[in-house]
Amino acid sequence: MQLRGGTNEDWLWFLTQLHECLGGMEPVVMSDRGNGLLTGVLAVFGKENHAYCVRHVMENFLEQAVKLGI
Amino acid sequence: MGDGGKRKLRAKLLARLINGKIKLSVDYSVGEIMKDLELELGITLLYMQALKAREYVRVLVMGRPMDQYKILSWMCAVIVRGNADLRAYVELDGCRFKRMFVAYGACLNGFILGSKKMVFVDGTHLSGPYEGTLLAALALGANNHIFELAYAVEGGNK
Repeated sequence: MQLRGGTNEDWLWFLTQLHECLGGMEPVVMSDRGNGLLTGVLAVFGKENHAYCVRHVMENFLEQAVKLGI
Repeated sequence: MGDGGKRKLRAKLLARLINGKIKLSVDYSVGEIMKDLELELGITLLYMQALKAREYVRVLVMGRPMDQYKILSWMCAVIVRGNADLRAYVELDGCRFKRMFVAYGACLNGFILGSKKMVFVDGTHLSGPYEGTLLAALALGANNHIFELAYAVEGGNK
C-alpha cells in the first residue's frame, strides 16, 4: 500500500503506543510490508517479531511483475 | 452569483423534503433520495443536486464535521473516566487535530490473557471532508475470531 509521506513517523507512533498498552508483551506483528511498517515494527517490536502477510506480499509481487511485463 | 443563489435555494427546499428521512437513517443514500423523490413527487433530480441537499441536511442534523472534531478531546476524557484500563487521547497540533489513539481496556486484557500472540496491523485512507488515515491493530481470539485491539486516526493534510 502506498501511503503519503510522513506516515513512517505515524506508524512508529502508533506501534509505540500499542507496545506500551501491551505492558511488556512481545507479540508477533503481521503486516503488509508497507514502508512505514517495515521501519516501525523493526524499531518497536524487533525484526524477529515481524511476519509478513502472504496475501499482501503476493499481490504486491504480482503487481510489480505485471508492471515489468513478466 | 444569481445561479449560485438559485442552487442554494433549491438545496434548501430539497433539504426540507428529506429532512425527516435523514433524521431516521443517516445512511440514506443519494440514489434512494433520487428514487423516492421521483416516486413521491415526480421530481427528477441530478445526482449532484441530491448529494448537495443531503450534505445540507446532514449539517443541520449532525452539525458541521469541523465541530465534531472539537468535541473529540472531551469524548476521550469521558470514555477514559468510565473505563479504568482504557487508553484514549487526542493529540493536537496547535488548534488542529493531529491524531488520536484508542485502545479499550477489555480488549487489551483479553488479548494479554487469552489470544494468540499475534497482532495484525494495517492502515486505510479515510474518505469524507477531512480525509486522513485509519490505523488499526487486530488479533485473533482463541476461537479464530477477529479481536480488536486498538485503532488510531491520523489527520489528513487538509
